[in-house]
Amino acid sequence: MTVKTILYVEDNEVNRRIVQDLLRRTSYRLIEAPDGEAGLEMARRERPDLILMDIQLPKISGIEATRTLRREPATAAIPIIAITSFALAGDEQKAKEAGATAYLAKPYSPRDLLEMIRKLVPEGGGAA
Amino acid sequence: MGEALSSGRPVQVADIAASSFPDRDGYLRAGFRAVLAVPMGSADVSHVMALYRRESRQFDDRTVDLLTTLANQSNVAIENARLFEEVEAKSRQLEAASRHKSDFLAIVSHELRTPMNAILGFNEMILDSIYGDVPEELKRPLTDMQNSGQHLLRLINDVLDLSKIEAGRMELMLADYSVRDTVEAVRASLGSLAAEKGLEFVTAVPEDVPLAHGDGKRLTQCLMNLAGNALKFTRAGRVEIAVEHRGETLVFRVADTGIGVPQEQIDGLFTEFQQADSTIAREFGGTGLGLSIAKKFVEMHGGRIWVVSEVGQGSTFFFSIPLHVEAGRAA
Repeated sequence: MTVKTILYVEDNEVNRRIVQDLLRRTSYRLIEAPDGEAGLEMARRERPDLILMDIQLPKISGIEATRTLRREPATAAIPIIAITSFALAGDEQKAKEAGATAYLAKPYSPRDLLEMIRKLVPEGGGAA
Repeated sequence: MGEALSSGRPVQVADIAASSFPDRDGYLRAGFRAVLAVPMGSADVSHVMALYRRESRQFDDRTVDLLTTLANQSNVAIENARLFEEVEAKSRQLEAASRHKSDFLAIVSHELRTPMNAILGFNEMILDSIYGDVPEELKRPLTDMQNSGQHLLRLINDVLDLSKIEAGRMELMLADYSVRDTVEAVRASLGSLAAEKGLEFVTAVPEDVPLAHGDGKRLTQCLMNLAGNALKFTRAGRVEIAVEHRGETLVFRVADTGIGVPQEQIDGLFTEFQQADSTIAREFGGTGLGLSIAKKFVEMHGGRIWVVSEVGQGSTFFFSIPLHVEAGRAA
């Protein structure tokens, strides 16, 4: 059984803790980055099975980071869930255009997030 | 000139050479011998209109009348132009202020979401027993917290929607949509609420409704608001969502057997924060913005919304929109 790695790029520590707690009882391995730049580096180095990308990020925005990941062959195929904000209209559209696989509006339900993660990257099983 | 201004009457100098006209020599060098000055307008005169002639002679009454008429008409035109400019500048200012407000609300609304995400997220995980079993007596308060948080979130969303609409920044995303799917989406998301309250919840969409063109997401929101209200204000009986297709018009109907709305409160119903009775908000919840938002979305589709209601019998809300909404028609 292969352990699936999920990268969560989010600048808010409390929000990162939600996903830490959510995934604690699953077999997913969680790695985290606090801004777009660190997120890109970690994605290149770790090649996670899935990326949760907040759209509002310091340094490099989630949109820009998504675009860059899609351009690079090593990361082009990694599914990305964009965490968008309903408040700033057009986020969804922008996330889709940048190449996000799916998006979830903030505030998201952890239950919905886990369901989406499991759909894209089944826990411990074969490739999605 | 000064005399025409101060007296408010036409003044003439028949022979500049023989007068003490100010800058007399300058006018003479330019070849002018006589001048007629008439005030522009009658009250608070600030300008005069002057007519010069190359020969020294009295201006006759007809010329004086003609120039007076011309001066008065010019004055009206200039005043109108000035007022128009003023109004335009004012409306530009208002527009900027409204945009400002809308930007401000968008940012506030966005900033509110991050802590809301944590509050609702952790609470949901506690309820889902992610941290272990939840003692029975904690389930109720945790569920209340969750519901109140969701309510707060709806308020934030509604306020943001309204401010965007008012700033003219809400744009419809026009595309083909299925009327049946729209109604079905509303039924699916409100079905459990109806079941909880033991209400009959039915939908009726004729088989032959063609594919429509408009903003399906916003129309779903309208129906959600109307049907959500209907379920909220109905203690027993049924709620029905029905659609009728009349030529190029779609008529949506949401009928309930609820508490109804008194006649005198029907007009204010579509105004922000105007629930028929302030005690209603306490018993039934709701943001007080749903109908106002629904009305604006319907109007953006070039349609209208109305209600027929009787206290104790129930209410039926209708809205009609074109089957195909053209781009540019949306206001």
